Amino acid sequence: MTAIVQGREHQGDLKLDCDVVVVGSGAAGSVVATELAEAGLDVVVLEEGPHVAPESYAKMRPSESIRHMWRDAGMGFAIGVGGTPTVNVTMGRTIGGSSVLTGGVCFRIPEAVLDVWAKVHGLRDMTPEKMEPCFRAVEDAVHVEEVPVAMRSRSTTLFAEGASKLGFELKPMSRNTKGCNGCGRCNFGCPHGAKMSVDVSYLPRAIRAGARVYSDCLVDRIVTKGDHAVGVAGALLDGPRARRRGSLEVRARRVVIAAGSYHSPLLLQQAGVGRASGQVGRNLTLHPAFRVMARFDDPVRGWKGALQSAWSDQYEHERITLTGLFIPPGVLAATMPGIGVEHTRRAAQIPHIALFGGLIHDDGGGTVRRGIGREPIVTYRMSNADRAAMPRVWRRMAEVFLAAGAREIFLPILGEHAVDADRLRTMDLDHIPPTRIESASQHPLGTCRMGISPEHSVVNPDGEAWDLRELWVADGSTLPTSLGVNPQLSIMSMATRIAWKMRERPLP
Amino acid sequence: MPANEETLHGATPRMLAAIEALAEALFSTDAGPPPRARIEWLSREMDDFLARAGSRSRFVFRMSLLLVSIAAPILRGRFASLRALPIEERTEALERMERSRLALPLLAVKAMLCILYYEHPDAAKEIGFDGACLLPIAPTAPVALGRAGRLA
Repeated sequence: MTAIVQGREHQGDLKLDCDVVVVGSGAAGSVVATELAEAGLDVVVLEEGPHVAPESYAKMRPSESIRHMWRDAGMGFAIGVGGTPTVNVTMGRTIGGSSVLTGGVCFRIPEAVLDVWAKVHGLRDMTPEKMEPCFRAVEDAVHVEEVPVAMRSRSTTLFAEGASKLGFELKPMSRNTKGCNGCGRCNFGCPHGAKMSVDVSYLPRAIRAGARVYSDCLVDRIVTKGDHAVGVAGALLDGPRARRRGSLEVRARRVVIAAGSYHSPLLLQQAGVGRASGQVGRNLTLHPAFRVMARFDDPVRGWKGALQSAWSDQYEHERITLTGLFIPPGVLAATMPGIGVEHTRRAAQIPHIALFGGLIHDDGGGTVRRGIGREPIVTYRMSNADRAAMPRVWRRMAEVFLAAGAREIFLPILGEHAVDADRLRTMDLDHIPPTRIESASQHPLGTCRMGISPEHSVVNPDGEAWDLRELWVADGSTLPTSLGVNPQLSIMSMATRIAWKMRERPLP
Repeated sequence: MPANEETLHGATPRMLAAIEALAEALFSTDAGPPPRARIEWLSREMDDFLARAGSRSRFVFRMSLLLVSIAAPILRGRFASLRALPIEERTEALERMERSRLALPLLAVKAMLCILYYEHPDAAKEIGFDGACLLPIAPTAPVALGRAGRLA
């Protein structure tokens, strides 16, 4: 078995030939590479980020994981326009991609979403029954299991108690874990090798089947010949600042782009794909998410227990999904109001803080455009319905915590002091200026969406670009709409389906 | 403290001085600002963090820090840089900025400072944090990557 090759250690230029080149080693790219390598194809995987071995990220502090493994050191954002808050968007930039940095949450594509895809987007071949083998293949490969109630943090347990008092129960979360001990730092890389992220599940399989995996390889161009994609080109990156060094050229009979919803559209735009439709880079959805914190009299120590163990679709009709989570004390402290003595007093209350998250099943309205340098300029405009859902999601979560006995609530409003039940009732949450709203996203989707016509979509129902043969897109950018739930397993299942479609079609 | 193969710099000395001035105010307790050694550790961490961030993130952070350094004193009616003010006035100026429409750049800087500061084991201990798998038991220097995906 060949190890992962670090581009930063390769001397000179890198030129390769293969059957299939896969750009991106995250949840989608790793799945496609594995499925195709195991089918006997000669596969090359190129990852822009560094290779950080599991035993190395296990030793990192959270901020070290952020600076070494997160794109833009976690400081990426989508600029809010039209009354929309600016959203901090985080994603992985490492071998294994964001899969290494998720909470491990696994949801199948909801049936209601598949129904919309069939009725509105014409994707009638993606029924729950037809997707079943794809879901099952991924679930088996990454060991999806339910988080037991006993592994819930006190923070999540308190939220569950509040929910119960309001008349609904939380549902157990499913995650890709094996032997998790609930130490609560999934999103900085699992320190115990218990999260079955693709760097420890799929990629080793791909490598065993002969795939060649390279880190530190920046692809900035799709090479074309006539109406075919015939390879990719770019640069080897060197050192901690990822400066360009040697050139990179891979000739392939088939090109698969799995660089995520921010970077896949940039590569397609460069290749001239979608000029006629104007759809490349549009339709970005984010699942804008908000955290609400609550202070209790008794200690909570929310960091003890599984990071994400329960969720609720109680308010699905309001476009809201509630999910349990916790964040390290530094990040918690950063979101608490106050400076100096007030801040440090608040920070000292962190052991008494419970936290829950809520995301909006958004309509989209974001656009990805080429910027200066490697990172795109991303704008995001919420629909009226999405904007109206924001105060509802804060209020719903606050009400649950108050029902559980919380003393005060911290809303995701910058500079806003903690509020009690009386203040919450009278607050005008509908008119908070967007510049004061704190929002985050880990789920950018939809910028190269799949569909049945080249006028309204970027790739066909098999994942191949409408206007460049043998150029396939396999990541979350192909999803025609947002999901309302964490997309990791959905992306991997879609990638499985696309890989199986590729296997059915002979190479040119 | 393990030594790294290379020391990276992502911030100018002027930026680091501004960061330290802000940190002194932000993390002050009834007993005064944090120990100098901890502020210096934070400064080194921030230097390394910014060195490894992308150029755009570095630019955004630099602009945010500049805006905070200039705008916060003005919001308090003082026309001086933040670090020229005594700690009490720095605190008041930053509080006003946090409640204003200019809160976003302050949040960006405050977030980075908090994420790093509370990774110092003594700072974590002071707020009662005992999450063993998130933090080392002693202050460590930033890690660097070496061969085969392993730490240098």
